[in-house]
Amino acid sequence: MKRVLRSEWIKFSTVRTNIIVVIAGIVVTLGLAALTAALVKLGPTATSGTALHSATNPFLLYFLLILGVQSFTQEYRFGTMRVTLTASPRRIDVFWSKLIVLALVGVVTCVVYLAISFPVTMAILHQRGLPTALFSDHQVRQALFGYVAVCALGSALGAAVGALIRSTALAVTLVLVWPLVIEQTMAGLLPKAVSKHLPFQTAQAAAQLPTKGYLDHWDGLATFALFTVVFVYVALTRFTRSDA
Amino acid sequence: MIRAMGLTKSYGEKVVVDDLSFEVNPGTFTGFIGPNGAGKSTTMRMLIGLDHPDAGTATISGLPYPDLKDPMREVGVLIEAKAFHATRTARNHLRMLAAAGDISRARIDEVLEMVGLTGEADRSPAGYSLGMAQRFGLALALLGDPGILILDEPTNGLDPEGIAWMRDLLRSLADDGRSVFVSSHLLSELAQVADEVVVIGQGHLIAAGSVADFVAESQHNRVKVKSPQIDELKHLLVGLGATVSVDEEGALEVRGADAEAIGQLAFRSGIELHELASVAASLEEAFLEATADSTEYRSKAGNDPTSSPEGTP
Repeated sequence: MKRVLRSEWIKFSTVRTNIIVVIAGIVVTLGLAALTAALVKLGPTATSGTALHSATNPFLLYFLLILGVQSFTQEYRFGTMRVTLTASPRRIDVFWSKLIVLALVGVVTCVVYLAISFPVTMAILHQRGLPTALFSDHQVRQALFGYVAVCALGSALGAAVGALIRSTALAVTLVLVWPLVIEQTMAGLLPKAVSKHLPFQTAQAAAQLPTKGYLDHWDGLATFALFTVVFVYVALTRFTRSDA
Repeated sequence: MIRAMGLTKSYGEKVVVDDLSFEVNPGTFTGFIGPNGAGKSTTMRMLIGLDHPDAGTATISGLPYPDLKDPMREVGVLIEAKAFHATRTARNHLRMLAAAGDISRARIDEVLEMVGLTGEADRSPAGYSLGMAQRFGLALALLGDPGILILDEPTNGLDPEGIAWMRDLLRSLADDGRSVFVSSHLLSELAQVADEVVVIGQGHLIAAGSVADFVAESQHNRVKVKSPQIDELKHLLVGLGATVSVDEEGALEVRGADAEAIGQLAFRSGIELHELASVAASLEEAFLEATADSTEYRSKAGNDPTSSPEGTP
């Protein structure tokens, strides 16, 4: 397993596009976060919860989902999956190694992002005389932890979708259209009691301060983890049983 | 020892490999031969656990490939000629596989040197010519210095010089005591170097054994006879049970009787002979004869002559 992990790490780190997606994810999301902090109109009811939103922008998650998808679909596209499985024929090891590498990349990316975005956005908000979120606040730390956990799970979820669908175009479309279009539409149409259980609504719940109309922090995180586990289980079953 | 026992695989309605059993003996150079679409690639993928057979088993040194303790050090595989990421360099591709097999960096340089690609290691093999890609594929197979090599059409796309180079290298690897199992649809490439052959057609085993035995069984082994009394001799030979035809030079081609028997018969009957020569079938002739009934392209009615399982996933 250690060998396969090393092999998967070399595989990930020697493809330039992967590195570009990570850096682009951080830079683009930082830009959006700073922009939000600079322009957001906060009314008199604004709290540290709304302030925190500008730092924990969900955009980073989309980049990580794509990164996850690519980890499998690239191999099918270039035909290297057969080479991989010849060198490491125990498919379960290959599958978990990919997910572990992706999840770790997700965590590191997310922590680097937060280390910049949190102080920067809070400084901007502070300068505008708006309420800010404090790192010393226990609930803020919990939400930040939730954001990091969601990034790790999202990378793994992307990988599972990639392993299931195998086609980059289809899988990337799915992981972007689902949260950005389908789920947004459903959230608008369904009663809150139902829509708060949609996957990316639960992800958001995990990464914010307690908010009306959303699951609470731990329930949100557990539900998003459950969605991820289901996809991972189905993907693993297909990956181990089908022809390479 | 590579062993296939009752391997069977279908894609949809089409049976690509049908109850195929054979063994590849340790330390031999074995050619895996069959026309395009005979099921060679599918069989090789089943041998190394990439495709799951519908029935039957494949083992290497007594175990299914995925159960081998150290697969890369036991078996070297070349199965996809041009399967490389578009931007990952050749050296990084090797590093990635070396990590999976716990193989040293020094060995990476060694195999690159062996196939003459040291100077090309820092660009992506996706940009290599097919010939270079085949050589690189061989470097990948040799990375773990394995005792068994399974290579799918390694000479595909090589020029005659490249084919000769590959053939010599594979022969020398076999002479070092490795088992080399190489598929090809071009039999002439392997004729000079293979010790044994496994011949398949439409997923069925046609022949397995030494090259000499395979050729000896061919109907193309014949005796050429020239005589001024050709009709008389022909009559006598047919009476003996031989099959006789006349070639374009007017010489007799005799099958079913050897030169000794024919000479004796002529001598006893007072027939003058001007030429008496055994003509051995070439491996190519033996192969074409053996696979004549199973070549897809000379298809039977109802078969789609254009479908080739070689390309199916």
